[in-house]
Amino acid sequence: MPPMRGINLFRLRPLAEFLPEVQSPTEDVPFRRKLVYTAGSLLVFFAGSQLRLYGVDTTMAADDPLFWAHTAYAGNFGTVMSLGVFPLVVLEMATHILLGLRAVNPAVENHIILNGLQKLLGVLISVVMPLGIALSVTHLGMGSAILASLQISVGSIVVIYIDEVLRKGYGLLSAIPLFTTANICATIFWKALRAGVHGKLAQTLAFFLLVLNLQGYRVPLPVQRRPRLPDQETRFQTNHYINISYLAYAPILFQATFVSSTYLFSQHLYMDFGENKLVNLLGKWQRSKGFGGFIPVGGIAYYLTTPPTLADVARDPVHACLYAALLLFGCGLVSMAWFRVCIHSRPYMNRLIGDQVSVTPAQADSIPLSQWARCVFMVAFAVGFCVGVLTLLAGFMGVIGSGTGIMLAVTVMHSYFDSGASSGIGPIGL
Amino acid sequence: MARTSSQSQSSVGGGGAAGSRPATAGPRGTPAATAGMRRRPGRTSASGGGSFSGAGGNNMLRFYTDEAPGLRLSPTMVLVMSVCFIGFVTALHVFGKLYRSRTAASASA
Repeated sequence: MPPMRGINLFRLRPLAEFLPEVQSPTEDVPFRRKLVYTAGSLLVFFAGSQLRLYGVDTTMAADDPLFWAHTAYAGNFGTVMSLGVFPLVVLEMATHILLGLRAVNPAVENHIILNGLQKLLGVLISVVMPLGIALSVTHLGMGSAILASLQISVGSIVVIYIDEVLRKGYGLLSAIPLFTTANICATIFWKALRAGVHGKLAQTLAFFLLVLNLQGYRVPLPVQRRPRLPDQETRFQTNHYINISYLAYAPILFQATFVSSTYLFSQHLYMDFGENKLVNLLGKWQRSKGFGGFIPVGGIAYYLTTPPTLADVARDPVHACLYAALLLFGCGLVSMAWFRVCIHSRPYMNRLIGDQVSVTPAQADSIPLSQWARCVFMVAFAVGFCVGVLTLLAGFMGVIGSGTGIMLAVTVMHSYFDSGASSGIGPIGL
Repeated sequence: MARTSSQSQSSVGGGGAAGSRPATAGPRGTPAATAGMRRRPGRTSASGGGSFSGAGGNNMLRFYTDEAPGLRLSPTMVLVMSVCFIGFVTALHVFGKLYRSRTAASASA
């Protein structure tokens, strides 16, 4: 496709270099040092996630904007790390979308400037968002609201800088997968110890094994090479393999994002303009007795929620069917869209398809060079679909720590042990 | 592409030989930037992806990274600062409780 000339970001260069930056390692960091840095970052993150905010009585606070997104963002409401890795994820997505859709010219200089801008925007988000959260939790006074938002801001800036340290080569994994996985494992661990519901534990284990089993698949993708000489008789094919688990990370993450942001939007609209017909169409909310937060009971938001038990499915089959359909197709579409956006990034494509692959004489089912992207698109849709199916299954089985969480954790760990230990850190940190 | 690069050698400061790239209007103030823009077609897409210190365009990348005026932190410093922050908030909690219990004790006694 003809390269579209996007915007060049040269003018924003002084802005991007405004913040202090972590220096890159001058030589290869040995494995043990990487381990120490990663462990240290994990400790800091866990300590921050358990540290209540000073000056705020958080026992009463039940309305949490990011409640539904906890699994995806590893945030713990009411603590210093309330935002979790949210700014990082948002900025990664934005960067990839900008580069992938060629709104910004994909050149190396722009990459560097974008990275600097990412950090600046991250700091901005971590200052502005806590102010918004503190102001919306209505029972706080002005002084304690400012104090609380200050603490959350500094906590989030700390997370951003730790992510920078891990990315520059000092850590084993980047912050997003590391903290998310660690948070999910810790949640499962504590819930399993506390409640002691053995049935649910067994179901969780079964789900975990199922997801683990599906991780190792690689779809073969033989692509025909262009013949070097015009009259070359045998054509060759490069045997690529599509790494399924790498492809699956994005729809899992983004499905949680999408659903939770819809919830957030609709919830606030309902609380402000409760009687409007259009707002009711989007979602009607009611305070649930379960955990003191809000639960949607009508409108589109209702159809996006997991039906709690099988009995509820029987009671309202329309809800269940619509929910299933939305989830499955939504995941498939998200997966395809993400692949389309990430196609520009060479590290991502290397991880996905494989860099050094064998070249063999062409077999009968090899794919012509122009068609390979379409094949991967279809595989991406299928993978998204499967992710949706797994989420449905997890929702019905009542898995501890939510199906999304377990899938994320398994995907990250599998990707790391499979290939990450050797080839470093790629986009979204995988 | 050899002709393009020789053109760029002869007119680095003026930015006038951008006839082959009319759309990239970019800021003309940075001669290194314009030289980089014109050198871009010669680079393969491999270095355009993730490697920040690619073989082509070394001078320009050095212009960006080494002369960056921002403060440089070492990773240990980042970890130490974050531990200090957590310690600070913990200390706030501890002193707040102490202060409250002390005022309660002095009020009752």
